[in-house]
Amino acid sequence: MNKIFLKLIIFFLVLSIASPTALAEFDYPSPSDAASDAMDQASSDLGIDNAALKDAISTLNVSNMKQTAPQVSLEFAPTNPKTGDQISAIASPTYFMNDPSNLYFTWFLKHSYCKDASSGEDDYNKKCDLNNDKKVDTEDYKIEAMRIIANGGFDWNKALGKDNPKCQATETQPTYCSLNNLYATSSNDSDGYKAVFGGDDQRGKSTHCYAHNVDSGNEYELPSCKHLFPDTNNDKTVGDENFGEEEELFWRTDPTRKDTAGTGRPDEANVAGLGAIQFKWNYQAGDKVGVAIEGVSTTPTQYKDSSYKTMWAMSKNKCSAGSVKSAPTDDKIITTTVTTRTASNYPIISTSTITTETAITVQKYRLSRTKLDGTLVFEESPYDTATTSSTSTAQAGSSDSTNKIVTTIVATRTAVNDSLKATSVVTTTTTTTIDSYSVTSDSGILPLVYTTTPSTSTASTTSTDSENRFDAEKDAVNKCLKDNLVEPLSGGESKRFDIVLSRYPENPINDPSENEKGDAITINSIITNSEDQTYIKYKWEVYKSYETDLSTGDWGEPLLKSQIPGAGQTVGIGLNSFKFNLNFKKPIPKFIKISLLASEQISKNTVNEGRSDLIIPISSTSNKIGLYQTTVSDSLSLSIDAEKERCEEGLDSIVCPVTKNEIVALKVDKANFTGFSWSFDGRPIEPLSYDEDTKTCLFGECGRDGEQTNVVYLPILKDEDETYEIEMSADNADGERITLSKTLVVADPKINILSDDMNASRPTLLGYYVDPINTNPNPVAQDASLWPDYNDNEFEALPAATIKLGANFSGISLNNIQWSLDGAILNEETAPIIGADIATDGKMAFPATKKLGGVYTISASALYTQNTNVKKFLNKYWGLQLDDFYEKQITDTITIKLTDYFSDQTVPLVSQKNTGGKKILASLVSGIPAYINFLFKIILTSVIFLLSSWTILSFFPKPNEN
Amino acid sequence: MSFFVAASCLLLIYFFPANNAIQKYTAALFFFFLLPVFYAKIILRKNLAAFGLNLNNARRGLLYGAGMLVFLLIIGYILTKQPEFTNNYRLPGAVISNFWAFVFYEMILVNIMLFLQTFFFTGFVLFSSTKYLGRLSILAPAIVFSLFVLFSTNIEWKLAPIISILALGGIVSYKSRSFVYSYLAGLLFMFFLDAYIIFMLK
Repeated sequence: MNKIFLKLIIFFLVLSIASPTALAEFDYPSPSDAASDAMDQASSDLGIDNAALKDAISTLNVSNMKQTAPQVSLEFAPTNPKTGDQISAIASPTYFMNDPSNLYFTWFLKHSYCKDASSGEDDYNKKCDLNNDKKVDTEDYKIEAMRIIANGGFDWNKALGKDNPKCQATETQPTYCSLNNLYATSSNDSDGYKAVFGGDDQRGKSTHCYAHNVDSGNEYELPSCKHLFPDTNNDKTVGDENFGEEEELFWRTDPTRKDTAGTGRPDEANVAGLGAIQFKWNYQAGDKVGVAIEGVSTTPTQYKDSSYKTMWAMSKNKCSAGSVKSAPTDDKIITTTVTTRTASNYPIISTSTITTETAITVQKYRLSRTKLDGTLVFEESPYDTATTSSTSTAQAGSSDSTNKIVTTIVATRTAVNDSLKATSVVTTTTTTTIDSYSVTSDSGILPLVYTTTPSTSTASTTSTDSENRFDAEKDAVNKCLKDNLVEPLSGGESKRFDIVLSRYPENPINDPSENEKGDAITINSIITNSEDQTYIKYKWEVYKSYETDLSTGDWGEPLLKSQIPGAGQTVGIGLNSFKFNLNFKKPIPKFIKISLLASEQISKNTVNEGRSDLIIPISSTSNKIGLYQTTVSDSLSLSIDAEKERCEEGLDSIVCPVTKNEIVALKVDKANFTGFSWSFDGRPIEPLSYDEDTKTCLFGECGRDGEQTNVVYLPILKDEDETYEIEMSADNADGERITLSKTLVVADPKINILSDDMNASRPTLLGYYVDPINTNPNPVAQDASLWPDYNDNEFEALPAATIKLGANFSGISLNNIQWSLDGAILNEETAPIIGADIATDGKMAFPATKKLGGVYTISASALYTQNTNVKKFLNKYWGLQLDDFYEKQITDTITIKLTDYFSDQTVPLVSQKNTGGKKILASLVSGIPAYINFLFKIILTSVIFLLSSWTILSFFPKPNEN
Repeated sequence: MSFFVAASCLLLIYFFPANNAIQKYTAALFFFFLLPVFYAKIILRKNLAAFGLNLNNARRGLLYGAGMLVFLLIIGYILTKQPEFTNNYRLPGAVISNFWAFVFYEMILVNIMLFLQTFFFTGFVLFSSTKYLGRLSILAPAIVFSLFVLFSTNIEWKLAPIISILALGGIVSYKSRSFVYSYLAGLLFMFFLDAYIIFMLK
């Protein structure tokens, strides 16, 4: 046995010193590691980036917590009002799906002399109790504001006529005391309005109301929807399509007019705050104002219908009334622990024992619970009181085994009347344990259970899981309003951005054809009053309209990103410009509207925002201005070389480079237009070929009496980096005036070597760069913002391939190019020696005879100068002197390395979804030679090993193992 | 001589260059399985059943295998509570998000590699050393594996599952005279372990 251990030690010593390099690289193939390697390799072949996949899953798992709830910011004008000034509060709602004109703006105005108080309390001011419910609260503040909005300056005192209380005075009576009371007669001005949950444009849709928890990011569905319209403390509900004379009087509207405020909406709609984006009132020192906006958020519900979440935005976007962070699911039985407690100056005892014999009030509370399908399983029991002189006991609730939901009378709370404050035990805790869910007491934002009296009672729950429902009543949202009062004078409030949008080009052309050569339109934004440009969040939306009349203002839903041709990122920080291609297919929109919503988070509760729109009329044509080379004959006749169109693709199609002292031709399809008018930089391009004296065409085509045709010639006389803005206006077949444009830039002449056969040689891939604006039609790793970046001077080629190269000379094909290969000039004599071929069109081809890893150095050079005829032509027609021309030798050099695969072939593409099988097959096939080599080596090693073992053992008479 | 063969197989695994997953699997197939098998069949002229490739002692094997699985699950639970382990344990992204990818991963990829390694360590190594080490050969698989890893690379947390399988597998194989039961227990363990880690990730 000692020998064995000795052998073991020797073995491992040999192993450890044998190969330091191998030691460093060896990675033991544990089952999970080896299997992961195999899966990763398969995934890689399929184009799946595992890291990106994990990130995507992680992001997806929490994506529902990242939603942005509807918000609103308030802006005041003037910003420093004095008492008596008329002040405007303007609301800027964001993250609502609706147009602001369809939202309900419930404004509330609190004067300094109005304080939350009930009748009998010192702070109670009867003047502020507008709904006569014996207490001053948010409902009264709402009434105050909405009365102002609905009244619109109408003299309601006069309408009361002789029934006005002022007419009871015996002294000088107002003149209207002789008039009849208009409110006494039946109101038939048809000013009723039926309010719809989620906004006026949601009529007929299913309604589901939600509240947003800022802390967790979750959104909870409310058991029932209730508007936040003012509570008038009578049966005259706002928004019930019934607006009789009593309501007219209450809201102080004109009983004879449908639209007292002149907003274009009926009185009851004004009371409901429909489209009331602005609230004006006469400021009094200490006034506070707020607004709650009801509409549908941009987030859809998970119901199988067309509904979006009905939500409310509040002026400070906060709510501290207490909340549930989450609630249990309906199909799980829960454990509920609810603690009721008194105000902090009372003792809290953790048992239900009552130590006094004095009569106490017992109150029962019950939670309600709603199933996921919306069925209300238990309603909240009415507030229940009883009087007892005995000890109060906690009561567990009943269970419902059918739907596995438990309703629990969560607390039997003992409260005290005034005389028992000092000694009463006031806390009771009831726990019902049924399943593993635990709901424990915590603070939050929206209260689970509300009680109106005694006001010292609170109860709240949270759980450790997150769900989409919770139990709450109307007050859950309504109670938040008091936290959202804003003082017009307070600093640090949100402000509205001044946004200026501009577009390029001015007259964009849409191309509905399959060529998709419509203008690339760029919208730039400038925000002058932001705190820090760097952190502004931009959200771009594009709408389209088929109407010729935009007065309806109905733009419908914004287009999805996938519906905007060539659109890049639409939302992001620092995205101050937006670009897309006008390639809308039929039916072609008449107008498109680009809307920018910019926001800047100043502090936790302050967001500067602004919205600006740009409406662009769309001209649609498949035609474009083509740029062509020209030829000047010996007789100085200028003609277009229609075979040589330049700048058809890529960036050159947007801004086309031209060189100084050349003559270019600009042409559009003659068949589609009449009445041509060409201009550059706002100046007309004179028809060159028309001789005024002889009234004839000197060369080419020209219109009658010197009219412009579909072709014009332009000499490039500006200096380097200067531009030409070309415009062509003409009437299309429909009689519509179309304007096409093109931009030329004068560039330094240069030569670029290009591969003429991408299967044999191509530029080396350097990596990828991110372009958030332009979309790559062949997205890389599912990211369309990534674009490949190629090295212009380093190429790759496959061994034994015939490498074909061409040279691009500032967009012009040249045929007098001088090629050299590895320093040797190629001409008619030298080229055949190495098997190279130089074609008459200037292209060069040669066989790659070097071994794998070999490098070729290739140069192409040419002398840039205008030919003699062009010089003469420019001299004759534009007066250029011969010493104005220049010559320049230009060269480009590349290296080509022979490799067994191209660097961009290893890049996974999204399109692999359909070609994944082929890609795997290709990967397998390409790996076969290496694998056969590996297999051969391993088999050979094994055979040698076995033979060696057999040989060694043959020297022994008998193997030990036997 | 068997020791020489086993050591040579490990040396070959160590030195033989395998550049991608399929080559690693091929190398493992040859050096953990085919070489020992040919050595046993051609040179030793022994039946592979002598090296644990049998289903004899089924009752004892299943009993010990079940016990081994219980211990492994306990070890696995403890391991998943160790951040060093969970942070270094590898699971492909596709396996986390796709059930059928998970099944393919466990039943094909993990299964093949686990079979090859349990055959080699708890079969070939263990039963080759039984004659010389007696009961102590129970420790042979885990010790040989650990020493090999210790001298060839680093012992990392991610190797804890296979070390546990080989350590407990030695007992099961010795008692049942078959490595098949320890292999099955190990496979189930890997399945549950990976499933639980995916559960934790989600």
